[in-house]
Amino acid sequence: MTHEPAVRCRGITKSYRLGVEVSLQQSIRTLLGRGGNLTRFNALDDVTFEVRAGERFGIVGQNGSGKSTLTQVIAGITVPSAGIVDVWGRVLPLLEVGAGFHEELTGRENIVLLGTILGLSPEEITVATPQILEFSGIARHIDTPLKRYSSGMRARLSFATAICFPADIYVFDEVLAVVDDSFRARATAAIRSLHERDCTVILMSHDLAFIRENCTTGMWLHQGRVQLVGGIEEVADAYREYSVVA
Amino acid sequence: MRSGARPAPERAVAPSTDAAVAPRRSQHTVLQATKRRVRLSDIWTTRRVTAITALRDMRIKYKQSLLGPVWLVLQPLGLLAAMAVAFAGIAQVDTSGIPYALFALVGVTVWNYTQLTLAVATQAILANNTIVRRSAAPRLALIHGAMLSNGPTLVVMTVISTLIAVVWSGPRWQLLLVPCAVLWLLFLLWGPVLLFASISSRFRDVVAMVPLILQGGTFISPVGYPVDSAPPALETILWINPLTGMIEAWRWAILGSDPAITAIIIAAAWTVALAIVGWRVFARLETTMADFL
Repeated sequence: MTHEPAVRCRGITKSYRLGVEVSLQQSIRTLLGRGGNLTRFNALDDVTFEVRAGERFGIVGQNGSGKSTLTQVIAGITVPSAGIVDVWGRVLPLLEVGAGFHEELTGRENIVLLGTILGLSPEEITVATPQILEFSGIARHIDTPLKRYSSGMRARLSFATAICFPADIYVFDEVLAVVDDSFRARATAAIRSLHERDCTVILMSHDLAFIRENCTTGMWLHQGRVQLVGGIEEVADAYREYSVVA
Repeated sequence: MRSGARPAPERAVAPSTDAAVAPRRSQHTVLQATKRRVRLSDIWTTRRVTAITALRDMRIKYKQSLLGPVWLVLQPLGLLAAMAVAFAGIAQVDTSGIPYALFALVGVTVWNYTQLTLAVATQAILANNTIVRRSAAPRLALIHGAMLSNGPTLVVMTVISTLIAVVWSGPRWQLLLVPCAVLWLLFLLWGPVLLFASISSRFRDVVAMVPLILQGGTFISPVGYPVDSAPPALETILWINPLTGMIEAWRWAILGSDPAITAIIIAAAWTVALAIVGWRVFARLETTMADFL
């Protein structure tokens, strides 16, 4: 394993305003100077950590701990309110099953669409397509519009696309919850093979067993703050202990 | 899809490690609290995403449709018929010797594209909301793709008008400037489209406002009548309206009519001003669009 960094977050803070952002009522209140100020809250609060190239890094935490916001910041979907994120290499996020797909297009058209949107070259997409067909096991339906797919097929195509497209850093947010056990086993094996290629994998999940099985190092986030960074067993044990007590 | 039917479900296909697809770890990205991260050069560097989203929208538009692309021409012809009834039939406007249908066709070509583009591109960010919230896809290209998805209508209508004009009065040197007129129209619309698309990601009011502008615009733009036949009350609005100069320039290029120079200069000034404002607002709001969808 190399020790160069893949992702480095320094003092990341992301704040949002609470409550309904835009409404006529709110605007009038603001104009009248009556309680127009919405309170802010920090979804991420001074988060600092580093993931080295080749690590499989698990992020655990309760709902609302800031896991998803952190993925969005690492993937460049939104900018942090403060702090700096350094990313070395191409990030490929899979944050939601079927994100970026269009219902009216066929599986094949969607592969090209998603690949292009994620910044891949036409050659990279051409090379990846047969692998996606093989991995997802839906080759027979590849020229059928996505709206005729079952939710399982959609999830398979989505995951296969993400894992077969070439990148340096893969970010998965709770995406394996919706597939059946056999595909999940394949996916787990694929995540291992990414690791063998020296790719970095960042996984987010409530599922501690899954995190323990797939990660080497990890981090526990609690209410937007880093609780613990370290080996995955240590992090998972600490988080489990906390969850049981709470 | 029954996975039980598959022989070895746990067998993973190792993704390729070909040199051709080797990841580029040398690429270093810094993400930080910043007011803007897009540059004008991104218009070119994001062209692939622009093309694929434009193509996607074109394909989807006519899926499950019998006539398909024929609607490209049928829709504007409907507007042309309405104009003919209102202005040639009832108001009997003077088009200085140019056949009314041809005169109005040029106006309809410009107006039809303006209408389609403002309606579609303003909602480009909203319509692509899963892409915006789930990937770092260039927001600029999503908007450009929506603008270009109506390109075929513009090209077909422009070619039809030009051909009819040639049949009517023979070739004229100004016809060489028709492509410039097309580009100018795109550039004029670029500013408002960026502005509306960015703001609509935060305030949905824009979505309700644009149809209002478009409904009024049909009558306060010289689509179906010449500028000089407008009643005095309407004159000021007509002169301020950037589409007046645009349509005047198009009629000059295609029909060889006398152009209203002042209107063209006003439209050019609008183009530059709207482009600057649109770009600045877009660049400012683009970094956090995902937070507001």
